[in-house]
Amino acid sequence: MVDYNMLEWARAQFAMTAIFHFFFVPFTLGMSFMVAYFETIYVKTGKAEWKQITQFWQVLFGINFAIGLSTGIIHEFEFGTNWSTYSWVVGDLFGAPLAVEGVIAFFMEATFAAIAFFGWKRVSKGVHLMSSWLLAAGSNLSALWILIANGFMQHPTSAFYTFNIDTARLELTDFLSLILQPVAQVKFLHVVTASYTMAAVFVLGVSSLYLLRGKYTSFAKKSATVAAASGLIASIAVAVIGDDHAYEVANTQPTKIASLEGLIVGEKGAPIVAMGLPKYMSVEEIKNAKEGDGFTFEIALPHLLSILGKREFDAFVPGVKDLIYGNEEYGIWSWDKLVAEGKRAIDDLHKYHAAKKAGDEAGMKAAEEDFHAIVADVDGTKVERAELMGYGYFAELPNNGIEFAYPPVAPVFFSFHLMVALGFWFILLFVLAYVAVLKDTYWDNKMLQQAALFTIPLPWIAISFGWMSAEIGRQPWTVFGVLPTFKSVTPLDLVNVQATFFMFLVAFVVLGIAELKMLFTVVKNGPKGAH
Amino acid sequence: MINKIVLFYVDGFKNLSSLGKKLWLLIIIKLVVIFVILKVFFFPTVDSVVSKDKQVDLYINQLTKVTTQKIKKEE
Repeated sequence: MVDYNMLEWARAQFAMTAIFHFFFVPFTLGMSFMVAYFETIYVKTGKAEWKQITQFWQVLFGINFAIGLSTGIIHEFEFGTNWSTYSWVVGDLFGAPLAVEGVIAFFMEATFAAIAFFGWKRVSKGVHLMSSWLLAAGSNLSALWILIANGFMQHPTSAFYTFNIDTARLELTDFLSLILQPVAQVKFLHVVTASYTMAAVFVLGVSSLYLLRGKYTSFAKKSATVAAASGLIASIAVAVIGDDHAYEVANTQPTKIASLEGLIVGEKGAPIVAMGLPKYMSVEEIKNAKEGDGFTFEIALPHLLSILGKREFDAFVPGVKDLIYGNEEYGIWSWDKLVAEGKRAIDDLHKYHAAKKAGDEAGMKAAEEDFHAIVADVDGTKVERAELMGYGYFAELPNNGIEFAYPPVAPVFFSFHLMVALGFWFILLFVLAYVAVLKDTYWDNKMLQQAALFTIPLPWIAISFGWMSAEIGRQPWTVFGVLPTFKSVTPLDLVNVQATFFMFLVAFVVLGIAELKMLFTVVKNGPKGAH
Repeated sequence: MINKIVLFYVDGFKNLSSLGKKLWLLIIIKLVVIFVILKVFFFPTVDSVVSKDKQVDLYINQLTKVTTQKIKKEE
């Protein structure tokens, strides 16, 4: 039996590590390209001031790169210790993109970081510039592989894996399909464009600080001009790709999109709630809920969820009620039916291994056939019973664990909506900043400069909220529909997880303070103090 | 060629700024904490203790056993 406390501590530890790791990652992804832009301008113009600008932002990038380095490795340990069943079942598949990341992208970063930081006086301008771009490409490629792995967890499909009944492990069957899965591709683009927005906000904010203080004015004007232009493009791209991302989520993780929008009862022409307060509803209340229930108050924009999720004005979008109690009209299976099929797959697995031990080949064959039997056809895609095995574990819970069939609505709804609100604020800020730069009025617009300065921490908050909505929204699964979170965890002694949780917490706080102190010192000393 | 690469790194490390030295010190401390202290004392490798065949049995048992769970939903 899994200890509830163990499960929650393991989740808390992983969430803490992920959030801390992701404080560094997007800044690295965005700043690496920002530094490469600045250096390109330097190489094209040959002006020493652009070299100074490049080197200043490169130092800030370097601090983040060095302190963030290897914080992700702690995740790898946690997969093995706290999530051993998860690692056993999906390790062969999940490990492949992680290995490629380590072998190609990480080595690319390591090689070109050395030339970018040590090579200013040792290699030609062209070679140095190429290294800066390759460093940026390498760090962004790292993100691609990680998000391919994450995309699999969000939407595993038999297009690229099969379940090995002998080892009870998923095995990769088509590497190209794994790489090209639309969920991962759109997630990658959403993450990298958000990272470019973060870097642009940072450069614009720090430049605005100098303008407000009347220091390094020429440096600040040039940096702010590049940041305003790149930030405008990146922030709009985040929103456009975010829309595509939501479309993918709506079609692959219906419980997540229903929770993101607090949609309890499905409807045609479903609305998006721009602002609202979702109310807590028990599964019994959900069972009796009517269209429009679910909020204490809300400002709804009719039809937008149907357009966002289905690209049709009046399309039906299923709500939590449809997804857990089923909806025959739209061919949606009830949770109980999914659990029953999953439980039968678990029984088949058990029978297969019992027959294998007894040397009963006929028994093995019968169990295997039933295990891999086609049980549904979703828009032409055949679904094997084996693919539903994860649902069977919920038979371990009272009432088939129906209260776990969907993610907690309030945290997912709020984190998603706050992320979206911040995303629109970034677009507004960059529109105003870019127009002011074009009109040559930004340099005297103290209010806009102050707004840019106070926006500096907001991309970190927006990105954390984005990941919270993605990962909490995937619950109750580690791998959607395949492996429940409570089944993925290692039955360890609680004290082990608690002890390491607090060790990581202390280490992360120390590293975080060190990073902030160094960043503040470099910003305070200004471009003349860098290099 | 290899000589040139080695010299490139040696020269780079010799001419590190004070900020660069601080960062490298931090990187080294962090790697020691992660790979020596955490890895050895808190995340030992268990593959050598349990054979591959026993691992299969262990996880098959874990994945086919249906037990009563006590978990609580957050809201």
